[in-house]
Parts: sequence; C-alpha cells; structure tokens
Amino acid sequence: MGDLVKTVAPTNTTEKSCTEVACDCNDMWSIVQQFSTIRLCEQKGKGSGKILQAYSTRAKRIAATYARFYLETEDGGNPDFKGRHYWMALGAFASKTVACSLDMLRVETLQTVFQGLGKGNLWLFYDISGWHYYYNKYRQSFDLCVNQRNAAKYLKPVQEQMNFYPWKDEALPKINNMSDCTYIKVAFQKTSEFEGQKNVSKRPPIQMANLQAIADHEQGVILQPLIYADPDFAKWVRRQRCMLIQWASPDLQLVFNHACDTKDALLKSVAPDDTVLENLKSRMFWISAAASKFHHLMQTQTAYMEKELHTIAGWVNLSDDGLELDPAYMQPF
Amino acid sequence: MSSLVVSINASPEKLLREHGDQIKVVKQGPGVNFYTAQWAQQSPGSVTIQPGKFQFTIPYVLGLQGVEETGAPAEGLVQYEIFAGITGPDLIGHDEARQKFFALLQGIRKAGWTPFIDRDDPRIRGRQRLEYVLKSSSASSLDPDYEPTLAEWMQLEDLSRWTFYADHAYLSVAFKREASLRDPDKPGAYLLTYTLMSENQHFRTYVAPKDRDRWKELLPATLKELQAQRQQAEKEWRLKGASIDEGYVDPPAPQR
Repeated sequence: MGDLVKTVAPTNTTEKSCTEVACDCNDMWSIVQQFSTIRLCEQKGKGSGKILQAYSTRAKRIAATYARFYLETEDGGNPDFKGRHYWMALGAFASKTVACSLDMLRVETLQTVFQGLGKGNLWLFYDISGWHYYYNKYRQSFDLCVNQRNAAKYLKPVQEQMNFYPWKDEALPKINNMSDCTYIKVAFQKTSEFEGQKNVSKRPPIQMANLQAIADHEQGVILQPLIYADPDFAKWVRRQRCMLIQWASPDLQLVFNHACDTKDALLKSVAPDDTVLENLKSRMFWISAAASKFHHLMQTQTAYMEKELHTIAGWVNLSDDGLELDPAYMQPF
Repeated sequence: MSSLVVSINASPEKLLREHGDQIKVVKQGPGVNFYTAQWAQQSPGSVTIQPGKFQFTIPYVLGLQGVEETGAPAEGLVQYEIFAGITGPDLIGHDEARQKFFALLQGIRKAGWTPFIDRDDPRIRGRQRLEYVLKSSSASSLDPDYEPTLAEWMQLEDLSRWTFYADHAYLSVAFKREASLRDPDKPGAYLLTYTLMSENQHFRTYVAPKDRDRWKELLPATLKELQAQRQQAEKEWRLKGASIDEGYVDPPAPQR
C-alpha cells in the first residue's frame, strides 16, 4: 500500500496490474476538489492549465456544470435518477443570469457589484460542485466522509493548485474551508430519498426539500459571509441577497431560458425593498414563491425547461478565446 | 385585513372580475399562467378557500399564487399556493408555533376536510404515523388529529406536510422554519404554504412529468401498484402490532 501523493511500485509482466492505495476521507475530498479546479481551467496539455480569466466565461461553465448535474450527464451521473439533483436545475439558470449580468456590469463599470457577483458565483461553485461530484462518484463513502471536508487539510499538491483560485485567502476562512455541511446533509438525504421513492407523486415534495436545503446552504453558509456581510458591498447588491428574491416579483416573467435578456432580472429594479428582506417571514415568502414558480414549470413544462438546460449544458468547454479581456477587471492571482 | 376568496376550478376571469385590483397575471411562456397577489407583512391579508360547504379562512397571508394550465383551459384554476404566517409578528416561540399550527389544522378539520393518507402509505394513525414519516420521508402526509410534542415538532423537517381531502379537492399544509433560528428554546420564524389542488391536478402528479399528457391512461395501473405497496407496508406494521385503520377509504379517482 502506498499513499495517494506518491506511490512507488516495481514494474512487472502482468497486464493491467495495479497497486492498491488506501484513501482516507481527506484524500477523497482532495481528489474531488480537482474536478472543480479542472472545470474552470483552460487546459494546456496534460497536467497543466490556466484558470479562466473572464468572469462571464466562468459563470457560463458553472451554469453548464450545474445543468449537467441536473440532467445526469455529468461525470458519475445516472439517467435513471434524473431529477434528484433538483437545485442544480435552478442553479444553472441562476448562474446563466449571473453571466449575463456580469457582461452588462463590465460594460457599465460597476466594479463593486461586478467583483462581488463574480466572487460569490465562483466560490459557490467551488463549494457546491464538490459535494455533488463526491455523491455522484463515490456514493458508498459519502455518508462517512461528508463531515470531513476541510480545504485547509487537503493534500499539499491540491492546496498548491488552490493557491491559484481567485480570492482564495479571503474566501476560504469566511466559508469555513468548505467544511460546513448541516444543510448539505439534509439536501443529500433528499437526493437519496428521491432515488428510492417508488410513488411518483411523492417525488416533487422531495425535490422541493432538496432545493430549499441547498438554498439555505448557499445563502447562509456561502453567500452571506462571503459577499453580503461585506460592508463595502453596495445597497444595490444587498438587494440581490438571493437570486430567488429577484425572480419572485409578481410582475416579472421568470427568466428560465438560455438566452441573455437585455431586460435581465438582475438589473431590473424589481427586488423588494430592504424592509421586506429584513423581515424573516416575508423573505421566506419571496424565496418560497419563486421556488414554487420554478417548481411548477419544472413539473409541468418539463420538455421546455430541459431543452433550455441542454443548451446551457453545451457551454461546458466555453473558452475565453476571442473575448476582449480587460486587465482592469481581473483580480490578480 | 383585506381578503380574497378562491375556489378550485373557478375561471381566472371570475377571479379577475372579483379581485382584479389585487391580482396580477404573470404569463409564463406557452404553458402556464400565474395569478398572484401579495400583502405586506405589516398588513397581511386573508384568503377564504372553497366558499360553501368546506369553507375556511387562512389568516396572516403574505401571498397567493393561482395556476392555470393553458393545456387544460376548461379546468380553470387548477392549483393555488397560499403563503402565510402562523401569527402576525415575525418571531414566534417554537412551542407556541406548534400549538397555534395544530389549532389551524383543527380548524380545517372542523370545516369538514378529511385527513388524507398517501395511497402507498400504511393506514396507521397518530404517533405511529409521525414515527413512520420521521423514519421514511417527509413526503408522506402526517395525521392532523395527532398533536406532536415539542420534541417531535422540532424533529419534523422543513416542508413536512398534512394533507386533506374534500369534495374533489386536495389541500396540503406545510411549514418552513427560518434556517438560522432552530434552537427550540429561542424564538423562530415560520412560513406556511397551503397548496390547494383540483382532483385532476392531484392525480396528474401520479405520473412522471414526461407522461403528464397521458395521465388518465396510465393512472389505473399506477394506483394498483400503490395499493400493492400499501398492502405490503400494512403487513409489516401488523407484524409490529400496529393497528391499521381499516375504515379509511381512499378518495375516489377520476374515471377514464
């Protein structure tokens, strides 16, 4: 037995011979993190790559990855269980909307908002894609290892790669090194319930519970400490606390398609005012009402919604090439 | 408290005629139209559902969402979601929430609604049903005639639900707790979601979304399977000494 980073075994004459390596949970989480790293890299040959520069390219690849998780076309996916990663469908539309908004904000030079949105979207991905990838690929040890994710303990080569993650020094301590899994455990309990549920009429409430638990994680564990708690963050952005709040406006047609709408949700002044958001019940109402609209469309307009998700899933290899990259908008790393 | 009256399968035109000043129409692509209303938390509304025999009123309403499926225009509004508080203030003690919520369920019972047991679930009642739900899935409906203890209440997951049936309509009541306020000794915040569905809309959920257009054709076989699952589950519960409510009869299914 060797260790994961360096194992030496003598060559032999047996075809496809293997050496066993024992992995503990930390090794597993280190492997998993590399999925997220590679997904946002422009690969430059074997074992070498460069993190995508344009925020909107990142947001589109993130949207594509979420769509692939939902559609079960991601690595480790299982088409028989389509629908179990329900939040991922919503996340795909949300990250698409972020990509569209980033393109607009870049033009309008709203630096604070541009940076905040880019940062929130990126770090939510680094966190949330890992839980899902682990569950898909290594289901058998997920329950055992779910409590043991901690980016500060990852294997050294993986930590070295993560040094290239934008905003890394600021983000990791704020989100507890991606170790917080209270809502994640609830969410994946629902994923597992979905897989075993034979009564089709019980699947929609299970899906909704998955979506709400990940929304709690996204809001409370990642975005709140990372960007909303930032005193420099403009009032405009405080109102963007939750993508769902934007979408809940009774006046607004939901933006569940793959195209960028020029009247896109994020820039329309449709969010409720701060007093509405500061009241817990009304905040829960705005989120629940939007989730319910999304849910209804997913359940009754499934073909349309999945067609849009397929288009978004096609952005998975999108590159920065051809984009005009202005260094002024790039966080140095 | 401004109020609104809704009934299942009513035409959207009727809703707009009666409450046009409060309702907004959100057309969502080719398939669905939403009819929404909302109230500020400081001055919540009330919604009376199913005026007539099974009428009851939901207080502290923050929002209403009615659904028209353009593929079934003759059915009118096939579903409503009503979002409401348990009481007026933002915060409420968890035990007070439990008691007031149970009183709301009793109000629905008094209006003539019958508790519904999911068609694959064993017909067990009270605390046994609660144990079953905690162990299997919060997607199974709880028994509204059983008042959970505080400890049990705190164990119930978000979106746990209680379902009722009356006169070809189904009603589910579910709660969500504010995620950051779940300490039983400190106040929490709750949002209730009442989902009212027409009979057809309820049974459409028994087939996979991709088969929705063929739901009537597929329904009989599906119901048969669910019946078999219930029988199996009841067999196991009987062995454990549970009493099965043999008197419970499923609400009628639509005929082909």
